Amino acid sequence: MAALTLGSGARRFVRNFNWPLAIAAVAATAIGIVCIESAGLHNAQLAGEARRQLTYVCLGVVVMIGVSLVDYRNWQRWAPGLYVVNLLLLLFILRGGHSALGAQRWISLGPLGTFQPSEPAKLILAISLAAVMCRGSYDRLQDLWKPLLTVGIPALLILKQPDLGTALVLLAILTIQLFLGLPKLGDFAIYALGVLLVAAVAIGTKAVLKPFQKARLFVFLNPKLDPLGAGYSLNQSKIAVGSGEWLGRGLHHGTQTQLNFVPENSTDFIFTVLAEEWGFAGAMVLLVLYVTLLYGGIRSMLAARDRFGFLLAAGLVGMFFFHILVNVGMTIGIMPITGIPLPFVSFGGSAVLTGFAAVGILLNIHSQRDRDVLGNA
Amino acid sequence: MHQRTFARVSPVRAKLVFYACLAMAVYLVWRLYDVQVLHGAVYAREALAQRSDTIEVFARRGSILDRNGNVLVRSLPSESVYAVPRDLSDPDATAAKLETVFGKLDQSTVTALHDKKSWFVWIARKLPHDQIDRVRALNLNGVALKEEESGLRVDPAGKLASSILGFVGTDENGLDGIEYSQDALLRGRSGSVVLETDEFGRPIPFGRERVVKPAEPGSTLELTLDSYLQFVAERSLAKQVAAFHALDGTAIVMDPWTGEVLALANEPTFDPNRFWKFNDAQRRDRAVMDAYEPGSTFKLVTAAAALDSHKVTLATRFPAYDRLEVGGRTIHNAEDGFMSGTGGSETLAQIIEFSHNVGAAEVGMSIGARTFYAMERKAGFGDPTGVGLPGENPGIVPAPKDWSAPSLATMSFGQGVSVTPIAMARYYSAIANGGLLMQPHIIRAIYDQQGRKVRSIAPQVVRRVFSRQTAAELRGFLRLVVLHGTGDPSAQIPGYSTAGKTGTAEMVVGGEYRGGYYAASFIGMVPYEHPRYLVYVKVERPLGSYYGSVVAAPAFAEIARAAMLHAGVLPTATLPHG
Repeated sequence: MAALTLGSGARRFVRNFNWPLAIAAVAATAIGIVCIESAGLHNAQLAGEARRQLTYVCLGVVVMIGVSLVDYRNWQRWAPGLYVVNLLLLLFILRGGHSALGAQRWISLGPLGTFQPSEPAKLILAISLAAVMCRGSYDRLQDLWKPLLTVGIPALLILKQPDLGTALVLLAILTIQLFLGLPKLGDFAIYALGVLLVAAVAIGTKAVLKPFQKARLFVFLNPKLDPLGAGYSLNQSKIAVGSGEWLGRGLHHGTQTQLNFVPENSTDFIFTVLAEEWGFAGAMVLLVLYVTLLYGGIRSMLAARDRFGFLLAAGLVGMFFFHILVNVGMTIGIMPITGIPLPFVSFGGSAVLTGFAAVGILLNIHSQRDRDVLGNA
Repeated sequence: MHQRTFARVSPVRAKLVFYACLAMAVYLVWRLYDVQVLHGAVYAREALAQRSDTIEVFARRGSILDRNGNVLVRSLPSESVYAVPRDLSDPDATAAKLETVFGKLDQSTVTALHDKKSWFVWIARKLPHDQIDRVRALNLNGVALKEEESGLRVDPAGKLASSILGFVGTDENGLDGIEYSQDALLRGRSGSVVLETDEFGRPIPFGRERVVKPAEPGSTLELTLDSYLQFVAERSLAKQVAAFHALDGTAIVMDPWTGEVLALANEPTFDPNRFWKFNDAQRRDRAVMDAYEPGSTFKLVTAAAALDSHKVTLATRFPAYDRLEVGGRTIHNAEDGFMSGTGGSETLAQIIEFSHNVGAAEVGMSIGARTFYAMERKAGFGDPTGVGLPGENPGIVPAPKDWSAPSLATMSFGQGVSVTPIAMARYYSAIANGGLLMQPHIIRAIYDQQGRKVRSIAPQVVRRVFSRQTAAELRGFLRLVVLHGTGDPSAQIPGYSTAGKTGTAEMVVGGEYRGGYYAASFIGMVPYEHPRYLVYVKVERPLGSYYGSVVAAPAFAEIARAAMLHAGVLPTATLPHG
């Protein structure tokens, strides 16, 4: 069996290319670079990030094309190995990772910068879960232990960093894959209830979440809980987004952005830059791109010729969906503040490369839509 | 076409994922619309508010000029000197160089200069430009200048008129004198400017600057004072106070026709540029703050009441005694007024001329309490004059119901009432001008900072105190005092005709008459025929002599003569004695 589908012909690849998906992703990075440049204009710490982001994006496009040429079915085979490597990286980072902002999330790559294993961890988990869900019938409720365990181990390691946002992304991937992978809707309902129960315990006790994580989780409901800490970020972020009004204050004229009132505004809070300087109009453009991206992802999902491709695509769609909802939502106070990036827009090599790799996988799934079910080209 | 049996879930679930995405998008659009469009203006205002800082812009304080436009007080831009000790390589050398400008530095300042960790220490605040130039010329590393927002208040004439002008605090807030009473006018109104700032409140270079309220510069006040007369009054007063080792003194020159205060001198005095080095007694504006028992000068109130009520005429004669029992009290004539040759009786003119206490008491008792008290009140005693200087004392003029048996008699020669020098000067001005009580004032005009006259203060008649006839008769008495009475010859000025009254009163110290403490005064006018100047002089607790004629009248003569010469009136060739 050929590992690559190159031989099946460039014409078929182009014919089956999922254009909306790829174009939306690349277009979003353009918006991102503009915003990162603006955020770094009067902030020495962020200076040069736009240029670096451009590099990451170029690299990401190469990765996207490269991955899109890899038959996605290989990921199913490689899943166990990837899963183990992922766990090792996450373990390593807990031991000797580079810490910043009170969290250990980075591995230093020397001159290449830093690497954040929790980004590819999302992708690897989507692959691993899809692979796990392809084994067995999942007709019985007790079959659920395998996917739960698959998610649980990396999720706990990531929570330990601590990185609540990424752990929640893993949960989102699991949820959508179970929703589309469990034959009985009742089993999914039981799972959902279980998740709610665990959430209640996590919130009610000190066992799972650190106090600051709780504060960030709930401050969005009432910023006055912590006006100088988590509430400050939220307040400044809301002011930034709101003051953009219809058409924004113009590039480099967003005072919240330029005067650095909003923290982390090239990464987690990059949406505030867009919303402030380009207004509701700019935010709409990005949302249209995201809807297009999700539409492209769902297109790939529906085009999948096997259960693995279907579930993998679903997991990746869920991943993007969750990122977008939570990141944009937190800037306007409707979602908890969790440090997860805005796909293709936030500054960060690991996130950009992971995003493009995910798109690459979705592109490959779509490119095989006219493959016959038996796997013959 | 494609069979998705592998999925083993209903296609509806897959479609739900798509709808979920759409729902999320709609939700986010709705929320963003709410925040950015519906409430955008609110957030935009909040954004503006938090990047803005309102800064008070001090208004320039107005100047104070004398009646001829000479600057008495003005504000100069000022700068302060500070050091950054951590930037000093050799603190001792720096201190030594600074000491060439400022003199010896405080030990605490020198210590602070040696603190290598310190970022900041003041060397001197609010310096005039000449010192600033010298500091700049030193070109010291680690020593810098900071412009001050409020100005440096400078009294170029130093002590001149200091008790009138008063002084200001470090923020140019008026603390005493005109500076205090007219603070609102002088200060103007500070404005505010909103500056854009960053998260640390630092103004942004080239940021938007919005003047919320422009600063309104303070007004310039033109006083009624004449610097030259002020100088003369201060000098003559100081001379008498020093000559008699007196405690203090007051001199006033007033235009009797307008009530304008041309000079107002107090002794001791102070330098407003260094007001903190003087105590309250030295800074006191005695002319308005201190009420005293006027003594014989008050006999003119008794005389006015007698003549104006027509109860006494110029021909009315009173028994002449050197002592008189009234209500259990013995009234004496003062030594300088002992009977000499008047015989058995005397007229009102003679009583005034020789300042007979007994005679004055007889006059007072003959006209009665109501007539006397009515004149006191009409003459403005017991009320503040409203001259416009802070802390004015109204004096004490008891009403008849509060009097004891000898009160009317003693008050008739100025005992048992208290008045301020400014009130006495005003009363004598009425005698000089034909009977009108004028509103004394110290401010002549108000100008804005562009030099446009905003307001001029016109002379104001308070009321007629007595008839023109009475005034002329009283003036005649005062002329006799100078020619033949107690004012002869110390209140005479060769070549000019003067008129006036001496006063010698025991001082009340701590609620009791204190032996050896006298207030010697002289109130007079020049020239007698048509008085141009009213000059008041009082010296308190002189040693050696305590008669108004000896202690105060010479200062009157000196001031009056200088005033006449200053006005360009040359002395006539004939001496007053002729």
